[in-house]
Amino acid sequence: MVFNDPKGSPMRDIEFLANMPEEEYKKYRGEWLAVASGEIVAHGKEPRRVHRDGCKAGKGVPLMEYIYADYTEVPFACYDPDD
Amino acid sequence: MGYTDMHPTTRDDGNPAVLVPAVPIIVRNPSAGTLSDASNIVRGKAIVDTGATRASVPLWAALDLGIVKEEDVKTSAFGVGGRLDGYRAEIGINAWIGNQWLDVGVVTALIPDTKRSRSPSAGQPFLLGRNGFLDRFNVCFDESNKVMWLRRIDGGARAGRPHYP
Repeated sequence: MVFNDPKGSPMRDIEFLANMPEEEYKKYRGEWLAVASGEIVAHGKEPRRVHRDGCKAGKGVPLMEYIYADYTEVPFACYDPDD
Repeated sequence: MGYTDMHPTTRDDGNPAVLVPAVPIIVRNPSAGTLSDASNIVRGKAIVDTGATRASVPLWAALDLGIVKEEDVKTSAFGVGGRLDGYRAEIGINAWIGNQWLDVGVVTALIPDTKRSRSPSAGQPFLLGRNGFLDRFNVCFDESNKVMWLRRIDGGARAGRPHYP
């Protein structure tokens, strides 16, 4: 497996996602994207497969990003009752 | 001190991009290999979630890294969607803050079992919560400028356990 330096900046991939045109986002709704070296190297609904395929693309370990399908609010919180 | 921009996570028809306070992270299995071992890391973006008691990792990533096995003993957690079963496991985290990878350390994470959840979430996100992150970094959410400022806490605060009324 080819592997680029994981300690390198992730900003190329972050900026690629931030600058994706609206039409591109729509294409991938409800899917995971694997992004490496500023491009989509794999996508699909099954994240383990997307990650595995992304790693095989030869551009390093991809950044995984989920494209939400139907809503724009992002309410998350997780409470561990043992804390 | 470093900062990270709030990252757009999704867009919808007629709406501007939604910005979330997220940090690029590398998650690793602390008991296997190193950061240079591609099979031992997953890269993603983690939401800094002040409502989360601890970090959370999607099940697929935890299984991929060998952090949990489906037959492991489960615990329960509560979220916006109510109670859900999941696992508790140690993970290693590096976070991209201020143009460098900082070793956040090994933290205990909750891993919701979204396969069996009553409200399965295909897009279960990475979360950084109070134990393991907010007790290691002071965070300022500068919402008007869409920037999040983070400062590592040195010394005793690392071991602190937050108590809120």
